[in-house]
Amino acid sequence: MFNLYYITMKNIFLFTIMCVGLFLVSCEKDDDVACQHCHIALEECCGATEPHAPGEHEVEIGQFCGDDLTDVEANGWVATEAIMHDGEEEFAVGDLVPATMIHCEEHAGDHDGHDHD
Amino acid sequence: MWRYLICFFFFIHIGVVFSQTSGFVFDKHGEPIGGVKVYLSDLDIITYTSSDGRFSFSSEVPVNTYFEFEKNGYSSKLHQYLGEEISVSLDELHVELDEVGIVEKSTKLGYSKTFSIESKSLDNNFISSSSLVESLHKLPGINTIGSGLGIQKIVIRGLSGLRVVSYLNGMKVNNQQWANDHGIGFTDLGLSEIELIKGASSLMYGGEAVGGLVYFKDSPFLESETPSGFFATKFDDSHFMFGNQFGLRWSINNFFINFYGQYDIATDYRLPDNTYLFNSRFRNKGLKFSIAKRTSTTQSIFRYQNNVDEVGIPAHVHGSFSSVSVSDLTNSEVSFFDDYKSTRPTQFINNHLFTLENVIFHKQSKITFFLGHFINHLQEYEKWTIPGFDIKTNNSIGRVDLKKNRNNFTFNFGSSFEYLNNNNSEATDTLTPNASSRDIGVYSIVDFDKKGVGFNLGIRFDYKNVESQQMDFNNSYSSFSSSAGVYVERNNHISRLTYSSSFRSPHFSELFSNGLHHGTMRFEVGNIHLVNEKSHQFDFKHQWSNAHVGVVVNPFFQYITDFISINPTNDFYNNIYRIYNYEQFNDVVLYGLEANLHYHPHVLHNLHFEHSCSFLNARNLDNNTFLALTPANKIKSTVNFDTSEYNILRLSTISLYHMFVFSQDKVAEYESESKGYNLLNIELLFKPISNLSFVAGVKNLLNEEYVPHLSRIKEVGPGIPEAGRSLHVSLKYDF
Repeated sequence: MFNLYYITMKNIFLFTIMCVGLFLVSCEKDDDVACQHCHIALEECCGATEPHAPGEHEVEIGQFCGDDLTDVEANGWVATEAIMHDGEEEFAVGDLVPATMIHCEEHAGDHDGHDHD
Repeated sequence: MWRYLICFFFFIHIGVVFSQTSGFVFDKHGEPIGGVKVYLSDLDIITYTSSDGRFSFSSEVPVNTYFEFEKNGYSSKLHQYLGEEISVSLDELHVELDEVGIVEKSTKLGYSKTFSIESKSLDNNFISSSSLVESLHKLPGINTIGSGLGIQKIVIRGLSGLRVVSYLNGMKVNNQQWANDHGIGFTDLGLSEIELIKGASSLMYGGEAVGGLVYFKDSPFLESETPSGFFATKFDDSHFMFGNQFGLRWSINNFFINFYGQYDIATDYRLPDNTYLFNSRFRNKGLKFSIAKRTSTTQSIFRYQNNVDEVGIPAHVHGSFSSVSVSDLTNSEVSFFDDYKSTRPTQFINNHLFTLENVIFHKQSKITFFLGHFINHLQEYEKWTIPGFDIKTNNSIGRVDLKKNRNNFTFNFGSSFEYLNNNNSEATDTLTPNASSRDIGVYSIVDFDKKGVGFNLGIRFDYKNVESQQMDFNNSYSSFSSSAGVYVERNNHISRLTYSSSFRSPHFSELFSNGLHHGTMRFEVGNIHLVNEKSHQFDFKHQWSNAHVGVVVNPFFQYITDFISINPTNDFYNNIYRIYNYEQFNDVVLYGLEANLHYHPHVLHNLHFEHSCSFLNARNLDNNTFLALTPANKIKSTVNFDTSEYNILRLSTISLYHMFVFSQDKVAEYESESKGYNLLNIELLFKPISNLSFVAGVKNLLNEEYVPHLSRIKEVGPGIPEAGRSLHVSLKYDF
């Protein structure tokens, strides 16, 4: 049997400090935000009368990293190409797509191209 | 002023007497019983009897302290210490009703015989259960709202959210419980027991708990100069979850310390069709420690706990919920490299809890001073760099309680003060504005118990002020709460009838909400004209047991006026998110029956059968419709077979758990019905060497595809099922 009878107050204290230290180190937010692929979710602006499955009206606008990602999520994206929706031009080149329409979160199947039978 | 207060709370010890309190525990034949848990409930200190049935505490225990004696296979016994040498006899018992019956037991919430209090042990919960809430779910009348193991909330007799108040070691936990996507806010780390009141609340802990009150108790301090502790690890393949815990308990010269840590990491959970629900992953880190110092007449306990959660919000859609299919929200495999990392949307929760409790014993009296502070920081990210909302809630409580014993009466008088502050930081949305509330309450409770007859009477008054400068709002809410109970014990029968009334004032979220809540995917609009919600409940419990059979029957009736409800409208925000308004129903009733049967055959004393059932009806009398989110009726069965005497592969116990859930067709407007289902779990406990426990089990053995009626993702597509068949293994080493 593992007997800890002779462990002293000092050792207990050091053990406690070590555990707290490890915990604090591991408390750092593991949140990889370096680069993300973003898209415009057109259905949010356009009052679509028919419900759409996720992704059906998404227009990919590329990968954004660091300050660019912060900027596009906070201030929106200036269109570098015409954005078409239901056969009509929704945004012309140079138009500002508002930040509320920009989504950079991942959806199911985004990261590994899984098939869904 | 603060200097004097600190001095008062830290240096109220007035004397140290180093004499011992000791005793002897034996069975009906006079033989000593070893390994009996001897718990001093007033001091929160524990020790165990040695093989000769003897126990001792290193210093004198205050007169009138309650000793609780517990051992598996024996009836528990409560003993009031009057300064004598303690000798206690325990009766052998094959049928235990401790979790559901009326038992002789000390509780933090009141006197358990005259008041409707149930308790559940959490010893070894980490290795025998996947989560804290899952363990509670096995009690009759308890359900959960959630999605996977990451988000789970307690539902008591159909009521949840703000109506179910959680206390952790005397401190109220405000984990933004107003929404179904906000979980309980802590884990089973270092906990030993849950006490539970179904229905209107305990008067000592405030009136707000119309649905119920859950009190989580830390493991007691250990009276032993030999440090003891444990290491535990587990794996659950439904989430590919890895969890680790450690704990350490030690005492010397009446100084006690408990210290615990935990780390859990889980990826997306696997559905019965072997796909994985994207973003149902979570991560948890927990750390807590408690220190106590006691003398013969005083005790001080300081506790700190930090809990950090990263919880993914699964089933996130941009369009209509109903048009998506399950395959749009799932992956056919998980990547161990990518899918343990947080993605979006995700909640980041950081909770800190501080409590300081000082107890003074004087003759027949016990005075408790309590200070507590709870900090909840919740950030919900849908974007990567800016939170959707960012709320910090500070909650402070001060409480004084005087408990006095006189003959067969116990009197409790007390007062509490609570300050709650809600503060928003920069985010894309603000769902609830900056606001604060102050609550002052006074209460008085009297208990009587003599020769199998007892009663309880109590009353509480609360005055609450809610203020929001941002909303130009300042309003006060006040009300009385009360309780009355009587019990009679004759032969093997115990009956108890209780009445309780309580109220709940509207919360910030119900008064002021005005925005999109990404976690629930709805646009919520508050109502500043809401008034107090008031509840009246009658609860009758009768139990009968002999050596082989135990029966508990528990009908109840609850009547709630001005019931605050969030209701869907026909309007949409951005043509996508349905708008929900807070309203009040005049009259709501909830009534039902819970029952238990515990049986074991005389020829095989180590085989136990337990059945429980819970039936609930919840109606809105205003328009004679059903209340939304009423849990389906259930029958739960457990078979436990203690195999330790057969010495087969060191197998100690085999447990089978079956739950049959009825279909739920009593639904509210806009709410879908749900189908019935069966769940079967099996678990084996091995004791390969001394102090080592190994648990292996399978959950959802039949790989049943089911969507609980209270699942928070039931309305997404056809309903997202819970996890399919899954294996779990765990290991614990005690030293």
